[in-house]
Amino acid sequence: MNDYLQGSIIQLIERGRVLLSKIPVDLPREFHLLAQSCRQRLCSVLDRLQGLIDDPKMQLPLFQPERLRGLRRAARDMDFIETIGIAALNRANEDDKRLNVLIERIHHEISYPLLPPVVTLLSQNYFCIYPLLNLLCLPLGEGDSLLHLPDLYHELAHPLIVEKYDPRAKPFQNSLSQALDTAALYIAEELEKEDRRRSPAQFAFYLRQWLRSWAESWAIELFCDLFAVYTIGPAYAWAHLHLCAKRGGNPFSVPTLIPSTHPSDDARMRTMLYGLHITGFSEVAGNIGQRWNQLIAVSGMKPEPEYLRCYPDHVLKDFAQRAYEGVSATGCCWSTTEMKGRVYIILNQAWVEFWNDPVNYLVWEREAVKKLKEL
Amino acid sequence: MSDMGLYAGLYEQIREYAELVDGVLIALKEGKSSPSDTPRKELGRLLANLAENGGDDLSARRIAMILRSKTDFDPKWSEVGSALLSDKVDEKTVDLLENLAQSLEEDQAATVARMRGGIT
Repeated sequence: MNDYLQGSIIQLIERGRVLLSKIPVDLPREFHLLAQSCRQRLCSVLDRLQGLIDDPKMQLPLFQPERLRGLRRAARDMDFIETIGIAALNRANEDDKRLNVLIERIHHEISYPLLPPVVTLLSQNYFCIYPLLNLLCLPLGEGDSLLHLPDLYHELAHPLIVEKYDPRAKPFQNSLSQALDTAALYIAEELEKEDRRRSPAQFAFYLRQWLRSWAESWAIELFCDLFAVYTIGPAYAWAHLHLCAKRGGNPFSVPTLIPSTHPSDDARMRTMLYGLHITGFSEVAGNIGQRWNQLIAVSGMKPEPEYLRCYPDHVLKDFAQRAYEGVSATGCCWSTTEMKGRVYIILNQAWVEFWNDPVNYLVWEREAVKKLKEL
Repeated sequence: MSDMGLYAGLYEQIREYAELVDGVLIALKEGKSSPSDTPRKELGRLLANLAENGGDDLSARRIAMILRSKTDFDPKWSEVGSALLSDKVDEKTVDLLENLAQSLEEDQAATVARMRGGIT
């Protein structure tokens, strides 16, 4: 295997070099950070690969498992940089540039404590951020409408969770840690109950899938939802309803076989409504809750018996409270403060206008999008 | 955030710990590892604290919960952690770390497959 691995590593190094040469050099200023980030990450992968060749012990049979795992990690990292980062750099255009101006504006309005991400209209999977590259991807059409733009605020929370060293992100991370503890403690108690009852192993298996889901992504997703609620206000909960109406599945889904990436849509909405109550938006929270229940009734979906066990109220309320403390400690501007930013006003007004006249809303939106482009 | 972004973040987090495990394994196999080595201390603390959710760091806490959610999770991991923090590392410790490295490798491959829309 030594010869094979040697050859494969050399091939991968060559591929990395070719990729480096494909990073455009005449990019608009907004993309310079992304270009730099892709370059640095690629160079780091190349260094690691070179180490797998140059280090004499890596030729010895004893170290071949580590060498193989190192090669695989490098290949996966290179795929990621190529298909996400370099792909975005190769399509940078005027629409991207305009959205970068908008994200910069939001960054100032909410006193976001980290550098704003670079935005690209490259996403094939709705809104999505890659904190490693600080790259935010939106679907092509989203730059010309308003009702989903509150989701940008959710995406902005992800880098706060991933940031390793910047102390400005720590309060938010600490709050998330505490909330995660609440979820883990709850699951541990439920596992103990199952053990005492000598229940079928299947229930303990479910609980483990939920524990893994909380750790992998649910806690993060709920915190990002709450960050959005606390910075853009009710518009975010409306956007969630809008997204679920168009693209949602079972709003009460409970994973039983494998972990799921997102908490159920209903659990997310319940958490957002708790957040809106905390920040004094009880009246609008009532309206959103009412519309949400209407949507659920129309969808015909009903919760399984396990639903409330999977997402108990006390855990979701704890998340809302902890996130409130975490966002507050980062110094990000509140949706409740007197001085509203212009993006805040437009995105919340969009939902007021929509509900005032859903059929003719588009006329208002076209004008509002123009205003947003002029900010 | 879409699944793709979440899986990418999760992958990176698991990858970081996989690299840590491999680094410690290489040093142990080389006979050049000491309990005062920073990576060894980091891994030792993570494994020793598994039962208490991995300590203060958010990333370590998440990895600890992920490891604990595995059906084959065994309290032996805290013993491996304690061994790494002391000078009592033996062949069994190295074998267990090798298993952990393989398990993390599987997790990474599965996460990438989920990222690409595959089913695992």
